[in-house]
Amino acid sequence: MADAGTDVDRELVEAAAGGSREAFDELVRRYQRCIFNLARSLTSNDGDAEDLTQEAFVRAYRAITKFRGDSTFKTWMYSVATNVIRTHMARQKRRGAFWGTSLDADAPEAPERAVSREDVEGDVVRRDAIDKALAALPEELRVAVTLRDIHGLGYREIAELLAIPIGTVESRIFRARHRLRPLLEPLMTRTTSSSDASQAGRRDSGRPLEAKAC
Amino acid sequence: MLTCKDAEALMARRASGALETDDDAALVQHLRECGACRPLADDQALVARALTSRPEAAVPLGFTQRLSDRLDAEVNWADMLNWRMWTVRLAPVAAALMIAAATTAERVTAADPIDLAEIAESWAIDPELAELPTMSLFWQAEVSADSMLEAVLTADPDDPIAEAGYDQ
Repeated sequence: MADAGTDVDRELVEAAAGGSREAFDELVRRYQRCIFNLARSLTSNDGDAEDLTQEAFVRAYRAITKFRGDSTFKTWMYSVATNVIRTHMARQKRRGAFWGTSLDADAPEAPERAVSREDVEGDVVRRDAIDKALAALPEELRVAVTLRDIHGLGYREIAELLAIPIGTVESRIFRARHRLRPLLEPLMTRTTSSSDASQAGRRDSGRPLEAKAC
Repeated sequence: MLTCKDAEALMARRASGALETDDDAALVQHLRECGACRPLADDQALVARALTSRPEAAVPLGFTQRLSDRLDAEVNWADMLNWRMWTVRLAPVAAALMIAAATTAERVTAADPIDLAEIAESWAIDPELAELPTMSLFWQAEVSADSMLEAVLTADPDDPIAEAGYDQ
């Protein structure tokens, strides 16, 4: 069942497709925070994140009349943004290969070497630590786990958005978290234990983790 | 009975809180029996929780205005592709072109007539022959073969070219 936000989006999209700039501006206001954070968490760079967020909205504006409503506007917008960001990352990678430098050479240091448990109390430091850890992942793992754990997209949405089977999404998210485990050690507060797997399983399966979704 | 590979997908989903009850029961059963998978399941939950707690970054100051400026530029480009707008704005230009074309056409009409006899003389052709209707076709810039044939076939019998045609 569609929620109120989805209904509002649908009305705004119809108005924007009909030429209402005000309607598109409202869509921008509703989603700019999420798209900026998606770009920020995937690039670890504020400047790139702003450029890519702008580019994503410009492309969405150009293509708004082609949005058919098969998915929600949110999923479509994430799809547009993810394509823009992945294209950017691929270009960066090719540029790095051409000049003989690794993309990882420009990436921030992994947090395990730069951040202590005391440091991560601050929001900025904590966010940077997470983004730096994500930057250490291969692109396909980084995108999948970011969409799921930071942006709260469903497995099926991610599969549609990335045009991959849902089993591949599950596998990528599993592997991404496995690789992030040592990198995020300073941020972790152990709240579950293997001896209480059953209880944890019941709790987690009944209530999805609340990512700060749009 | 789940294999460890099967359990990975379920561990990922359970850490996200997106596991169906039946699958959850199967996974819990597997974790009770598999010492290798239990720490993996814990790690999945811990990492998911850490990522979910990522503080959001604020959108940079002035972002909305900068994006709005870009979108305004997009609107202008879209206008340039709008034929209705071009129709209105180019109307004066079209009118000016039509006036210029009309003026030029008048000049051509007013040009001096071609003196066929003078041309024939310069080409050392008998002036009397040159003024014959059939012969005059030769001096026109563009004459189709059909026109030429028609002129010969319908020429005055005194026309020597026509006579030559009849003789053929």
